[in-house]
Amino acid sequence: MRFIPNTLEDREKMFQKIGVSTVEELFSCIPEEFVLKEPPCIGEEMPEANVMEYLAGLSEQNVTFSDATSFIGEIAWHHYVPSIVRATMSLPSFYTAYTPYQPELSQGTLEAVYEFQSYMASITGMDASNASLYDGASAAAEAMIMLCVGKKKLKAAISSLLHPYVKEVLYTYAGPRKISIVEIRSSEGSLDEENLDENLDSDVGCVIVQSPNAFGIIEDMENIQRISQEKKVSTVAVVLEPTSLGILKPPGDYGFDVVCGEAQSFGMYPQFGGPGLGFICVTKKLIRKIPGRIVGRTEDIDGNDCFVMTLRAREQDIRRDKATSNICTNNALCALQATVYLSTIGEKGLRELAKRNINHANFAFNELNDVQGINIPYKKPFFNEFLVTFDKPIEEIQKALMDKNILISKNDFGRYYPFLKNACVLCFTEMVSKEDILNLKEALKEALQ
Amino acid sequence: MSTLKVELLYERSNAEKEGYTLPYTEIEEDYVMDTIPKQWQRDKIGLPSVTETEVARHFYNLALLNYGVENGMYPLGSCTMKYNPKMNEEIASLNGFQKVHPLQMDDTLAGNLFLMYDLEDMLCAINGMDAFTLAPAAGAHGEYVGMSIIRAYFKDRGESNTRTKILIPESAHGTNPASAISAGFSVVEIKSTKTGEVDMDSLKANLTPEVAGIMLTNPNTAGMFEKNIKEIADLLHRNGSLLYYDGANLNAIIGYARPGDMGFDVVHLNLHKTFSTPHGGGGPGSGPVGVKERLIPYLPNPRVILNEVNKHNEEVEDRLIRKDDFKKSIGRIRLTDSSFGVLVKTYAYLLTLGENNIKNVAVNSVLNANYVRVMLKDDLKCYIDGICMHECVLSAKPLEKYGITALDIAKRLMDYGYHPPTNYFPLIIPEALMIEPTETESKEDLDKFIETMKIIVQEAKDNPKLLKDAPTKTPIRRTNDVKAAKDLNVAWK
Repeated sequence: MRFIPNTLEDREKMFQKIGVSTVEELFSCIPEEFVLKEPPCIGEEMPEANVMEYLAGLSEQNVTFSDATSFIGEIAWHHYVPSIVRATMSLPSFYTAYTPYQPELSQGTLEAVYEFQSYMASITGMDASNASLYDGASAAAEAMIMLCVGKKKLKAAISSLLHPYVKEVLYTYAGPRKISIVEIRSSEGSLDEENLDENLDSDVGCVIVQSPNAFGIIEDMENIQRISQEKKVSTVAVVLEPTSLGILKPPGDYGFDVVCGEAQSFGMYPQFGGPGLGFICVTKKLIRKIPGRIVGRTEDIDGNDCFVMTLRAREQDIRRDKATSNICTNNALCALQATVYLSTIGEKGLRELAKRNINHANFAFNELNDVQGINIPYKKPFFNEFLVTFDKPIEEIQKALMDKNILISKNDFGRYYPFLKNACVLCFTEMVSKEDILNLKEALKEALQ
Repeated sequence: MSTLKVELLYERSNAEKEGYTLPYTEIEEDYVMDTIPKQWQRDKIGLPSVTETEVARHFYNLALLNYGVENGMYPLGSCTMKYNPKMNEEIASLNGFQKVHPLQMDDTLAGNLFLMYDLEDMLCAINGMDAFTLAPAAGAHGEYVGMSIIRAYFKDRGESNTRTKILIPESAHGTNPASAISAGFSVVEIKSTKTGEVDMDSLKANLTPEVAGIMLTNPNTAGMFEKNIKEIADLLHRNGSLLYYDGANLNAIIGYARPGDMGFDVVHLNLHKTFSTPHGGGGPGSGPVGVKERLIPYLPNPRVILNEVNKHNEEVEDRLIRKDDFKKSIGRIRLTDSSFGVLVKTYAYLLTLGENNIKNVAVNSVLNANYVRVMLKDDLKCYIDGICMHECVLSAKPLEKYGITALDIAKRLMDYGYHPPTNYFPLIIPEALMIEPTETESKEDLDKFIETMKIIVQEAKDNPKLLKDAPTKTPIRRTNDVKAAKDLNVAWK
C-alpha cells in the first residue's frame, strides 16, 4: 500500500515494544462481536493509472462547458480562472496545512487570510470580514442567527426574491432556533417597499435582501436601508454574484449592517456546486458577534509584525454550548483561491469584468426581447442575468436547446413563484460570445415555433 | 524556514500595473451608462493593482512561511493529518468535474451522479449504515444536520416537545454541544471517567424521558475505545433515544469495526480527516452523515436516487436523478448539493485503497500511536494506562517542577522541525499533549520524533529557558494575542 510505510519487520519490532504479539491483541479493547469478519465491500484496490483512467471516463459522461454553452447562473457562475490560482492553491504547504492555530508555523495562511478579509471588506464596503464560511446560503443563515438570536428578536423579514434555495436554507436553520420568518412580497421584479415597511416592527431582528435578486434585478438598496433604518431594524445584504460589486455601489456604502453571500465567482469554476466560498462582512459594531474565524494583525515577543487568529473566545472550542456558532472547519483554501484571483485581476480587472458582464447580458436582452414566444416580464436594471418566460412548456425548451448543445437551468421558476409559468433565469458572463448568444436566439426561435 | 517581513500586495500597488486581460469579445456596445443608474455605481473598489509576477512571488514566499504535511510529521491529535495523495487533486481538477453547473439537467450529469451514488454505497459499507447524505460542508455542519435529523424524527413521532435534551460527555469536542444547540436541543453534560469514557452512573442518572440522544466519539477524545458501547446503546434505545457518532476518530477503526454495528443511529464523517482530503489551512472539508433505515426520510434535500420511471435501463448511470422534495426531509442545508470536489478526492482514495487495504489504515494508525506511547511514557506521564487507539495522550505534568508546560514542549518541537501535537485537549488530562501520528508515518520517522521528544524533556530539566524561549527558529516567535484582540486590526486600511 503506497501510503502506508511500515513493513512487516517494523510491525514486529513495534509489537515487541508495545508488548503485544498480534493485531487482535492490539485491538482487544474492541468487543469481539463488533470485529468485522469480512472487509467492507468497496472493491479491489486499483493502481493509480487505472483510477485515473476510470475517473476520467466518468468525468467525460458529464456534459461540460466545453461540450455545450452554458447560460446558467443563479447560484454558481462560469468565469475564467487564471492558471495562477490553481498553481498557488496547490502549493503543498498551503494545500495540506491545518487551521492556523500555531501562528509560528502558519504565517503564510494567516497573511493570505488577512488579505482576503481586507479585499472582501473593501469590495462590500464594510469594516471587517471573517476568514470564510461554507457557502452563500449558510452564510445568510449565520447572519440571521447572529442578528435574531443575538438580539432576542426572533423574527426575520426576508425578501421573497432571495434565491429559492437560499430561502429554503433559511427555513431549515430558522426552525430549531425558533425564528419565525415573514416573506416580503415582490412588486414588478423587485422588493415591494410598501410591504417591507408594513412588516417591520420591534420584534424583527433583521431584514434580508438579495441584490442582484433571484430574477437578476438590482435592488434599490438605498430605499431598503432607509425604510429599515427608520424602523431601527438591522439589514443584511446577500450577494451571490460579487462580480457585480466591481461596478455597483456596495451595500456597506448605503449603511447595511451585514453583507454576506457566495464568492465562488472569485477564482473557482462551478465544479458541480462545491466547494464554493461563503463570506460574511460586518460593521465595526458587530465584529465581536461574527461567526467563524478571524485573523488579526499583532506582534511577536520580539516586536515583529505578524498575524494570529483572534477574538477566539466567540468560538465553539472555547465557548462550547455558549458559542455564537458551531462552525469550525470553513473554506480556507477557497478563500486563498479568491485572494489570489482578486490580487491578479486587481482593481481595474474586476471593474472591467463587471462591465463586460453587463454588456454581454444587455446585448442578449436586446436580442431576445423581440423573439416571438419569449417574454421578459421585468425591465429593470440587471447585472449578468435576467428572467424570461416561454410560451411553451419549459421541458420542451430545455430539451430542444440541449439538442443544440445549449445548457439552461433545470429550475422552472414557476415552481417557486406562482405568478410565473415556464420561467427561467438566463445568465451571460464574459465566457459566452456574441456568436453563442446569437446561436441561443436561433435555437429558441426554432424551439418556440 | 524563511523569516517574516510582512509586505501586503497593497503596498506595491500601482494603478498602471495589471495582472489580467479580459478575453476577446465581439460585443462592443457599452450598456453600462445607459442601464445602470449613475448613483448606483461605485468609484473605487479598493483592490491592489499588481502584475502576475508579483502575485506569484508574493504567495510563493507566503507558502514558505507555512508548515504542511510534506514539511514533516504533523501529529495533531484528533485532526488526522495524514498524507494527501497527489493524484486526488489532479482528478478533481479534470475539466469534466470542474466545468459543470449544479443546475444542469440531471441527464447531463451522469458521471457526477454515479460518483455520488457509488460513494454513498461505499460509505454505507464502511460504516454499517443504510444511507448517507453527502451534502454537509464540514464536520460541524454534519453534526448540525445529524442533530436536525434526530429532531425531525421525534417531531414526526409527536415527541418534539418532550425529547429536548442531548447527552454529551464532558470530554467531547466543543463542536458537539454547539451543534446540539444549533439544532434546537439543550445539552446535558455527563461525566467522563479518567480514561475519557462515559461514566455509567452519570449516564444512568441523566437518562430521563426527555433525552433525545447522546453524542459520542468512539474511540473517545482521549483515544480510548468506549468498552461499554453495547450497554450504552441498549440503555439509550430502551429509553427511546438515539445514538449519534462523531466520526472525528474513525481512523482508528476503519475497516476493523463499524459504528453502525455498535448501535449508532446517525454518524458523521470528516472526509478531510479519515479519507485523506487536504485540510487546506482550515477547509474546505466535507461531513457526510449516515443514518439507519428509520431515519432515511429525514435526510436533507436533494438526494441522488434511482429513478423508478426508467428503472429498466441497463446502465445505472442512466437511471440516477436528484430528488429534492422529500416531504419529511429536514430541508435544504446549503446552496448547492455538495462539496463535490472533496467527494471526488475521497472516491479516488477509496478506489486506491480497496477493501483489502482499508483495515491496514486502522491497524497502522493504532500501531504508530501505541509505539509513541510506550517509547515516551517514562519521559512524560501517561495518565491513561494500557493500549490506546489511534492517538495517545501524554502529560507534561512531571515537568511542572521545572516550570515547563505542555505549551513549552509544543513550541520547542517547532525548533526541531515538527508541527506540535494538540495541547490542552482533552480537558480531562492536565497539561495534555495529544499525539496522533496516523498510518502514513514510518517507524523511522517515529523513532526520530521520539528521540527529539526525549531530548526536549532532558532540556526541560537541564535548561528550561530553551523551552520557555522557544520557538526561535521559526519565521516569527510567540505572539502577542492580547494585543491582537485589544487593538483589533483585521483589514488593511
